[in-house]
Amino acid sequence: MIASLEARGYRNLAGELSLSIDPHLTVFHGLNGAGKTNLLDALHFGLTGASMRSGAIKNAIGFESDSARVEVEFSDKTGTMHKTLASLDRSGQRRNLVDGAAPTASVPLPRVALFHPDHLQTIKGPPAHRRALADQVAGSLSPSQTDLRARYGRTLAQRNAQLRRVRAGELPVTELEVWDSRLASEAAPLVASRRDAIEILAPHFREAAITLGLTEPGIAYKTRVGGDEESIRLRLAELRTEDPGRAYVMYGPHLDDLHVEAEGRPLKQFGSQGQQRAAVLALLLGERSALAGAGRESPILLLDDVMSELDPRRRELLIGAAVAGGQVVVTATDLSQVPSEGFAPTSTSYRVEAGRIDAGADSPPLAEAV
Amino acid sequence: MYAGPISRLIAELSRLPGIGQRTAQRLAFHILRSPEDQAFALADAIREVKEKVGLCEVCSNLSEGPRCQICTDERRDRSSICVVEEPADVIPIERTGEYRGLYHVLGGALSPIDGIDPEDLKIAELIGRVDEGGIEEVVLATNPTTTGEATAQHIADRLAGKTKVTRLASGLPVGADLEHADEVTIGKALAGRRSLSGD
Repeated sequence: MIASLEARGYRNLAGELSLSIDPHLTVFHGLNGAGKTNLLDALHFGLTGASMRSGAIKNAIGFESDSARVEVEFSDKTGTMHKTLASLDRSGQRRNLVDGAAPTASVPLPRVALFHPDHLQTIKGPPAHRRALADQVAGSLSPSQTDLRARYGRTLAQRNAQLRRVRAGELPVTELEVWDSRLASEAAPLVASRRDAIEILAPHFREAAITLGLTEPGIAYKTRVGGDEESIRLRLAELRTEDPGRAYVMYGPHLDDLHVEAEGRPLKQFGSQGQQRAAVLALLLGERSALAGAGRESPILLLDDVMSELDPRRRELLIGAAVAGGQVVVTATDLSQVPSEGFAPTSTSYRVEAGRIDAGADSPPLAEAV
Repeated sequence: MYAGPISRLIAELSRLPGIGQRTAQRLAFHILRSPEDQAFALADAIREVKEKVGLCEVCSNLSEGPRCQICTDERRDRSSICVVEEPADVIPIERTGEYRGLYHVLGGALSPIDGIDPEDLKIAELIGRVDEGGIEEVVLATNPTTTGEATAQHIADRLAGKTKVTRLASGLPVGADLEHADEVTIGKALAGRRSLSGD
């Protein structure tokens, strides 16, 4: 549970800024350019050591500062309070600590789930985005599998380098055997972990997607790689003899995809912008509820600039589902876009203006616990 | 900037791994200030190591003569060979005191990206040693990395049917707290767990 945020020198946020984060729903609202997204980004930086925006991390240091520093207070499962510290300075030095030391397995950094408009690429973009999603879900459901993707990638790179040399006539085709064999032993667990993860995610995704208004939503893992390590090895051996002239391995989990659909049609080709956005949100909500189902801690959900695109009913459904799954922080241009009363047990809102929290109006909490 | 010899020393020192321009400068001035015998001892040590230390003709470990200390030690078990990537890998295994056999240093690991093929490593020499007979076990102790695993696989394939081939297990560091181990390591250790009681 995230308790509070302190930021100094982060992007356009002015002075030393300190605010508490609601156990259920926190709203940052203000006009465009006021700094509400930067405030959300500060929280993201404090929790992950990385900005949620693309571009050089040094740009996260405010124009008038030499360094940026964000601290986030949070409680772990046992209720013990901890504090993260993320900082960076103009010389490029970066730190991301918990209680003054590197994060450990017993006191890790709190997890974060983020919706950012760029994330529509998960649905719209090339399959690589969806493979990354599958691996991220697999890794968060079972952290011992986080290295499978990287291991496979390194082996594939070596295998392709070997293939190029075979093609150039520098080596006989038999020199591929070892790398094919290695590739098969790295591919099999990767495929299995993706399949398991999507199988666990699918019902949670469906439920969230229906809540957000999609009809007959579905998510499926698509791979041409079937069977165990041995059958993958055999298939690679067949390909080796059938078509030794290929420049790349055209078979393997690096060509996998996820099919995200509604009404029986893939959202990538046929989804409207609104449906695609709903699907991305449903993936986030689905992953959180899958994690909760597996007895793991639900990540705090950061929703940047999503309210303005939704009709009032969808806003209510989104906030209701998001708050039911754990802590939520949202940005909005107008507070009225965020339904809180009746949808969250408690909520706190901050009006952001010119990089400052406007002390008037709506903080302290809008609605007390029911 | 500095007199010729000093610049040259700085340039040479900064070629060492982990030594930048500034550290090289500091080292150079330290050497300049230190007593003559100390500075010459360093120079001699460098010369000596290059003149006298070569590779063992049997196992390719570092050696002062044609054969290394381990290969010439009569007390070692001559029926097993432990295969490692680099001479530096011999030291930690020796420190365990658990292994009494011989070594074979490959001089690297297979890596198509860097153009390192079996011929660039001392693999043929290893096969030759096994073919000579008397080897009951080859322990593959290459690193658990992409290239180390592929190298182990390659050697295992080539030694198939010739002798018993084993691979180091992976697991938890002994004496370390479980809480400080990463998930991947613990996962591997779980997968390779062993029974402590019957059946």
